[in-house]
Amino acid sequence: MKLHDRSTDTSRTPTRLDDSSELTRYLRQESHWRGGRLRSQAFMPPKDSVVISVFLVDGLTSMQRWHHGDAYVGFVASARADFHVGTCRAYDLDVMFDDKPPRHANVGFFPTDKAARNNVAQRLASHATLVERETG
Amino acid sequence: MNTLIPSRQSAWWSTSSVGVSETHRELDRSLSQVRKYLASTVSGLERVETLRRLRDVVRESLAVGWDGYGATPVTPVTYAWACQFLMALPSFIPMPEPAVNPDGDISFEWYRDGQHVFAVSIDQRGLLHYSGLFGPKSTYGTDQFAGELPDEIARQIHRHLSDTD
Repeated sequence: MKLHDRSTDTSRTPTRLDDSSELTRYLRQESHWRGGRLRSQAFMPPKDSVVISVFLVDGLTSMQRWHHGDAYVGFVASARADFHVGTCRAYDLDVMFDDKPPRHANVGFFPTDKAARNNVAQRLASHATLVERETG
Repeated sequence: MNTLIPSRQSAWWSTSSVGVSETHRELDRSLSQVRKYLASTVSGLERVETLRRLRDVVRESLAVGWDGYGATPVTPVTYAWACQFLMALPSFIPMPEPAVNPDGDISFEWYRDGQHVFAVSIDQRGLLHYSGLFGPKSTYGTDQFAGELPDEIARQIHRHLSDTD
């Protein structure tokens, strides 16, 4: 029987999803975390969408979170915004876990009114933690 | 250095008040107020520097999916609106930090700390979408840009800059 290698295989689905569960949003656009702080743009959905893509990273070390992003996000992230499920729920957003790809979830539904949407994104940014990837 | 402030050696700017009348003293007070005002205003260089930063963030946002999540590129029309908005900011308002939203709108942000942020986004139609956090309070709304900073947004920026929450 092949044992589950926890150090490299990050795809195992977490068994719980509560307010303390940790989410991360992988980022590559530097202007979204310029000046050592997260900006609201990091949490805004694309045009004609009301959700943002995140990953449930409970149980993963910081290094494992980077590896998970490299494997499943589709781009090389230079930073992450770590935050909690409870923060989303505090602003009437749901976390819709689909595990496609592993650990993936959507956060929504954002207001369709742009000003209201920007306000929610500002609030999420104010509660999230910026983690920049070390280079070199 | 604020290049808008005239030299102290300038004859008309002199505040020397030897043998002055009440009129002269009043003039001195007025000049003092003008000097304080000029010292607190945005210089042309700062505005040019902000326009340069705007150009740079727009250049980073010209490809489809520039943020990795399907972001919309900035259009020339939105960029033109954004430049007009920056030029319309009164000189007593500090220059904001520009950024591009994933939907292609251009945002200008005034930041004090994580709980005190005010931002205005301008879209392709020249609509201004503003949103601010004032500690535990917040506000948001939409206004049309017509070449001048709308009164409500000016009021909210002032609230942000002077907020003590």
